[in-house]
Amino acid sequence: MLQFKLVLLGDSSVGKSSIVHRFVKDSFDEFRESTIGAAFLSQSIKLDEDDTVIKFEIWDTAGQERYKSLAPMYYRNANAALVVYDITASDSLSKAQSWVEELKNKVADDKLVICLVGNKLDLCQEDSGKRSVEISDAKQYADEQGLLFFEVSAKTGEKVNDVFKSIGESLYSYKKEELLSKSEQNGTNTHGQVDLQLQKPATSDPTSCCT
Amino acid sequence: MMKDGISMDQGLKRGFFTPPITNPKFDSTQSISESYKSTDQTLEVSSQTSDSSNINPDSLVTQEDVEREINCLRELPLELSKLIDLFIADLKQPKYIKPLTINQLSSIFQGFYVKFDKSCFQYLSQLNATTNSNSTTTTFLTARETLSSGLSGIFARSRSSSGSSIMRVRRSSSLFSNDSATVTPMLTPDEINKQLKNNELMNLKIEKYMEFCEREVFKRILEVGISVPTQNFDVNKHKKSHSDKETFRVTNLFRNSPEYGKYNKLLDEKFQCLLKLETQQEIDFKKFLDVPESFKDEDLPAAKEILEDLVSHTISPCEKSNLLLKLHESMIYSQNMSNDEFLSLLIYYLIRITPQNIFLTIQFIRLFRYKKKLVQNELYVLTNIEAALVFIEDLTLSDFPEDIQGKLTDNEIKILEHSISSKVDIPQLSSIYNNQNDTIHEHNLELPLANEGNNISSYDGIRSVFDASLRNIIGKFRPSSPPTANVSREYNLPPAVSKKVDDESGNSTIILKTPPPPIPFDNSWNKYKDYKFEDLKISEMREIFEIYQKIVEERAV
Repeated sequence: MLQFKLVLLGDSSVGKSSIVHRFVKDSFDEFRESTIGAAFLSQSIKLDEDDTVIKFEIWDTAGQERYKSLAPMYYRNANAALVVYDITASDSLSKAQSWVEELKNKVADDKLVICLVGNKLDLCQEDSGKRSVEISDAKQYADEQGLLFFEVSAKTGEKVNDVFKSIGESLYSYKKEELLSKSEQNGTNTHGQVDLQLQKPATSDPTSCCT
Repeated sequence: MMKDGISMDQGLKRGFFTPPITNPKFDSTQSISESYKSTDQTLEVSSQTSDSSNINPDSLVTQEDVEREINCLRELPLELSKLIDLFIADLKQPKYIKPLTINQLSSIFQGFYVKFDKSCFQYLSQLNATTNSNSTTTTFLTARETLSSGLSGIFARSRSSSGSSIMRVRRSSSLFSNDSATVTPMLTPDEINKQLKNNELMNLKIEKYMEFCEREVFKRILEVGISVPTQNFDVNKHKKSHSDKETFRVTNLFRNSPEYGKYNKLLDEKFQCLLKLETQQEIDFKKFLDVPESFKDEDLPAAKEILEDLVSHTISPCEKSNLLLKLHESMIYSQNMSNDEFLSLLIYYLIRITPQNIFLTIQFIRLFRYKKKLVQNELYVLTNIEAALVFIEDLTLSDFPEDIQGKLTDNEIKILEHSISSKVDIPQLSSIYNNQNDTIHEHNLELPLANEGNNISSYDGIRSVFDASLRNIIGKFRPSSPPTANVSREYNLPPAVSKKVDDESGNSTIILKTPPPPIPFDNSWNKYKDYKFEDLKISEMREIFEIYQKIVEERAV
């Protein structure tokens, strides 16, 4: 089992918590684990590839503008970030973009997987006039920045699982690369169980001193 | 070994990572930390009996097992509690050239936790191995007999009637024994499951022992006075800490890092000020913070009790950390609550309740909770309250509506004019909050042993320590040789003591540093007489110390 920290970013009104709540609710009970409301959840999924189990530790951030400066405390050591906007609110994409920029500037880890997610797809399906952010605009931005991109509905659950699956796949492919390059470095360690040791806990504090 | 291969394979799928300790390929530090990952949940679940639907069906350990094997543990086995004795005794050794900062102290504790963790593992493995070797030499039936005699036998018997194979429990624990090759070369899936279960239980036990360890260490510190190694030289403060045994004064631990104390004081002041504004209804914090409408004032007393327990009625970091979890659980009005609500409510609670020394208490958890266990929801709730405190310290007049200014007293304006972080700089904090790159932080954690000490700002500390520690010796030869004694007193010298933190046995050992090649002793003794202490390099300090030793030797003859 691989464990990753995922942080949720986005305005309070875009429904980022409901996406996660939907994800956890729709996932198999088999993997259900501890929660603190919808603020902290841990949920595992199984990838098709190699039957790998990925465990997400999902950290919610407070979306209000006044708490914006506190976000670094939450996305510190994160492996993935879900940046959410509301496709029915025109200014919400630009706010999401500022989150993406902040992450790119402040997070040193170039393996950070960022996924841009437009929420409230159900509203636009009922009434196409409600759409304020064109899917092509968001998609283009995501491609330029090298982000994963989805439009989802937390209400109906559409595409919600795909978001987490594709984040999991990206993280897994990074992890595999890492393991491969490590095992090339010391050729003797070719057994699967040895490779396991290379996986660091997602939220272990790197300041710990274990001399 | 085939058997290990199979079980590790299983382990991989289950997230169980503890390898046989005999396998040299594994980094045991890493493996022990990993092994906890999957068991965290099991224990959380067991503590939340009200929400039984949360139990992970993947887990082999049932509620019943936890009850029988884990919850009945009340104290540390003698072997392990001895380690704590050693650690406390070791802390009292005056072996550092200057008082330890809180971060250095924390790294010593963290080092001890890691060693203790390893020792728990070894202790339990040995225990398993011993029972194992008995059962493997006997037949299945006698093994069953043996089992039935113990307390666990009672359970085994009652369960065997329902077709369970629990009577094999001892044999299956052979994963950790040395004679495992003499058992069966291949294990049935059932036996593998038994092994996994045993290991899971073992991890739970270690976890419990670690909790005991944290509690025990700080309880002892409470009994014997503060642990800061300078206490031998600081009799007054030592006595003082004896007089207030009832509550653990977290402030004592921080007194060698005065910036923390200052920050704490300013934050407490700010809380008082904000509380006053709230009670005088000059600022409506409920509105200001978007406190969720579901909040009712009647909920405050419960939160107050938790926060008071947190700051004054608990000792160990893990107890305090659990209270933070409890606080968050008490705030859940609906399952859909996100952190928009939690954080607002948390800040509001803090303003209304203003728990004293909350900053130091939270820092205490951050620094002294075993880092390998400070993960997941525990880390999350800690981050949340840290964020709340940062929000408060950063709150200034400009955040409030302009018309408020006229209503404030001068003192209140002074308190609210600037953020606390602009007044007191705690570099470690900013690295925790903002810096992804933690190398700076780690650098600060080096211990001030004989070969370190370039930090000019703490020279005063060194001086007082050495003044005191040398006084005894110097006092003895002063009457016969006043000039030498003066020289020695003028140059405060570091002892050449070094500490080896970790050795194979898991015990800490203090090793005298191999002395550098002796310098010719002629008239060089007064070569540094015109130097200022602040200007001395480490090598020069060492030289002076050697001169000093020569002098002592000469006088002794």
